[in-house]
Amino acid sequence: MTKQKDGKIIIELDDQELEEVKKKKEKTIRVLVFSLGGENYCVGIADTKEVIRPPDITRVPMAPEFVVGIINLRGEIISILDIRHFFGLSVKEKTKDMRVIISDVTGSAIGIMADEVKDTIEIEESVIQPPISTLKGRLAEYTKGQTRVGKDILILLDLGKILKCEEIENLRKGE
Amino acid sequence: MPFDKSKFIERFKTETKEHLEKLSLGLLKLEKDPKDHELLEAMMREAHTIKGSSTMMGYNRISGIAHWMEDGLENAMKGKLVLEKAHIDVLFKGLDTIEPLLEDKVTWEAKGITGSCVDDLCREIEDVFAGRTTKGSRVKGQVARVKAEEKPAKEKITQVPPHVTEESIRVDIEKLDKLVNVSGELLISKIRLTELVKTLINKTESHEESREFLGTLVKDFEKVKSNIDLLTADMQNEIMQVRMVPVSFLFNTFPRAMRDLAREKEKDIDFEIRGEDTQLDKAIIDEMKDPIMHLLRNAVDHGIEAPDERKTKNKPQTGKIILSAYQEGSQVVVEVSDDGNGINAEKVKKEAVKKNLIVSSRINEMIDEQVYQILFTPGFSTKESVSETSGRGVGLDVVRENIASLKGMVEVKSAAGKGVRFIMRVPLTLAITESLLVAAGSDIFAIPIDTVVETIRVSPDDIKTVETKDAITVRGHIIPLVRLNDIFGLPRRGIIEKKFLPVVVVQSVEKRVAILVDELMGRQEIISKAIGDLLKNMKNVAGATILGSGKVVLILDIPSIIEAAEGAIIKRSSVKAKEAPKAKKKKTILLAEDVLSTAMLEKNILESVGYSVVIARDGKKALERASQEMFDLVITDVLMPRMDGFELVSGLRKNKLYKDVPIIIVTTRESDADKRRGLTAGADAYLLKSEFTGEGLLDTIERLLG
Repeated sequence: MTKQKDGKIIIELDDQELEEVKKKKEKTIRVLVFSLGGENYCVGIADTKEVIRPPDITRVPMAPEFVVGIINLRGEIISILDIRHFFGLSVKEKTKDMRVIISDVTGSAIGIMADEVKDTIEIEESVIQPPISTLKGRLAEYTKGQTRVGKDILILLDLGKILKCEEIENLRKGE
Repeated sequence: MPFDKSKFIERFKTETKEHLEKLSLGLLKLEKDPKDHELLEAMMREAHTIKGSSTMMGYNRISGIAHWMEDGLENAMKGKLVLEKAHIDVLFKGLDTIEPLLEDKVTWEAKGITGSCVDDLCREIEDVFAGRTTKGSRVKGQVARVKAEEKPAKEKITQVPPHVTEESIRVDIEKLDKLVNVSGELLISKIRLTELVKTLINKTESHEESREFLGTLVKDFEKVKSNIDLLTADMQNEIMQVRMVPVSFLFNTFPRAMRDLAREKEKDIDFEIRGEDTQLDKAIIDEMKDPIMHLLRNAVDHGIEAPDERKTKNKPQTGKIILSAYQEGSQVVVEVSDDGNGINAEKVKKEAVKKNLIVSSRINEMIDEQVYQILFTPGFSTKESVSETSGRGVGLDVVRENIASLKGMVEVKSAAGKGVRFIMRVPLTLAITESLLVAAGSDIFAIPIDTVVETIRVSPDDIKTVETKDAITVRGHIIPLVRLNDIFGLPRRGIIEKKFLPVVVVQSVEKRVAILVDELMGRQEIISKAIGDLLKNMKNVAGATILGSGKVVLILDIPSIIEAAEGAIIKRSSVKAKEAPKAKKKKTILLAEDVLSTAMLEKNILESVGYSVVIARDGKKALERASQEMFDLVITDVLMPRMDGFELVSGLRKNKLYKDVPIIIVTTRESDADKRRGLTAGADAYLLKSEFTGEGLLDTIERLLG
């Protein structure tokens, strides 16, 4: 229902319409799609801050394998991780498509290497299914669910859980 | 229109405090030269300003006092009278009363200030300057009397919310202008960048021209980018400068305290400040207050002798205490010196032995500088010990701790009977530290310069391997050597063909380690940055920094590297070692070993876990030492000149006192026959040297000592 007031058009939604808008909002989440070891994954866009090209990375000798190194992001020092190590995926050679996804889901900014960042898409929550049983080990543990986009299966990762996994927590504690 | 005072009250307070400080300093100068016309005029103006602004702000009591002070100073300026001690005293009393009056009612009432005593004080100032003997004497000593029955008149100040304290720095206008300039430039560059982006968008919409155009655009972009880079760096630098304030900020608070202290202790003291323009980070200045006050108080209390005593010593009756500051490289040196008693090294030694801080057998080897260091040991300087020994140093350990927390150092120089100099070195700023950049392979690391003792070049032949560990000798001292590559598990690269290897000798709390690096890359000022929550607990890494090139570089954590270099055993026992010496008397160990480098290394290891160690170079000497002094445990080598380890063990066991003292034989010999021989001779344990750096030895010692 619309009406005019002081030359402005005011749209008033009735309760039913409001409900629908709300539902629609609840239903979809925006995700960032990236590839890792040939597979496509996605993470909730709300968990990410920005995507950057890999800058000059300083390695941190003696740090665990999954720590790629540290970078200078506009004057702030940020650790870059390669989460493939947690999933038993092979580490790919450096390519020009590689990107770093910066996330502050744990409270401080951490970067994650991705082979390629593809897109951000909107997916409906209702089509997200529980992880299939063929997902094994830790990948299953860190998967929120999966969905089909076209022909591909897209795995929605729980970034918060990954960045608080045992190895990372141990590193935080200095063990 | 009512004017809202509350906005101005904080500023009024800070300003008034500054005026009070100037008046206080002025009075101290007038004490020496009461006829300084210029100074009198300046001080009269200060008092006048206080009077004016406090009237404006409704602080009527303050303005009352200030009025009479101004009046008196004016008379002095006009030559109607010459300031005498009584005048100065009463003026000081005025300052002392004004300061609490700036705060809320609770504060000044707590100090016993009431409306009527302010009136009394005003009258007293008036009387003193009028040359009348005054009833002021009844408020002598105290700032004012408390008259409980009298309620102070209600004033606006009670409505001011108490304790609106805000941390602030007053910044030099010039510094701020620079900052404003740079940020203005930065803004212009940003606007230019926005324009360029707009043009880019417009141009790419019309395709044809774009190819040629894009080339120039990219160049423009790069220009703007490099400009912004430059400006940001500038800005960073200028902001750092804003943190810097002259030390006078702190130093000027001391003269008054010194005057009072000297009076209280009945000493005649000339206090001098030098180098008050030296600039230092505000955060550091704030932390320096306590240590400096400590040292000054010590100087008055224990350093400068009573006037009579000085006379008999043929010294000028007035003692001199100097507080000075000057910059030296990236450090600021603050010195507190006096021409008093000096430190009595013998007394310090005695006290240290009494308190079990040092083994009496070592005391005679110590040079004076080492003895002075004992003053800084926790547990040495307690208030009780000062009165007993008339030693110097109430809480000097606290001074050292304070300075160390600022990444600084403190040393002391003294000549008995002639005076003492405490020299404190602190970095200019905590944010910027100078570092030595070194390389291991292609990795670059930064070593904080305050931990670097020296850099040297050694030949591969100079590196001696003691047991499993490397060491070098630097000016007669054996220092453990670690390779930077090994610390970080990096591959060693072609060091064999090099003739000379660069080595950085670092130090932390008296312990030194030599770090062998692939390359020394020079000094650089760095701004140390947080490395982030993920890596902040990484071993051997203290933080990271970003070099001018934008490259991120790790900063080495020297204390943890030194600790690691002392061997795996220390890590395990470091917690115990820290507690042990305080809790109980140090256990003493007699170490018989003829190879000095081995002996030194073993000694280091044992001392690092809290034992006190005496070395004997052969069995005979060991037996002699054992008869002079009681040891808790004996460790001996087997092969030694004059008397070997087995003979030493049998010899010791013949001495009643050593019947039950644990003895450990440490040797390279690994034969059962030897082992048996050692145990039959009376040893409690038989260890291989290769086990010395492992857990075995410490476990054995702990077990044997119970």
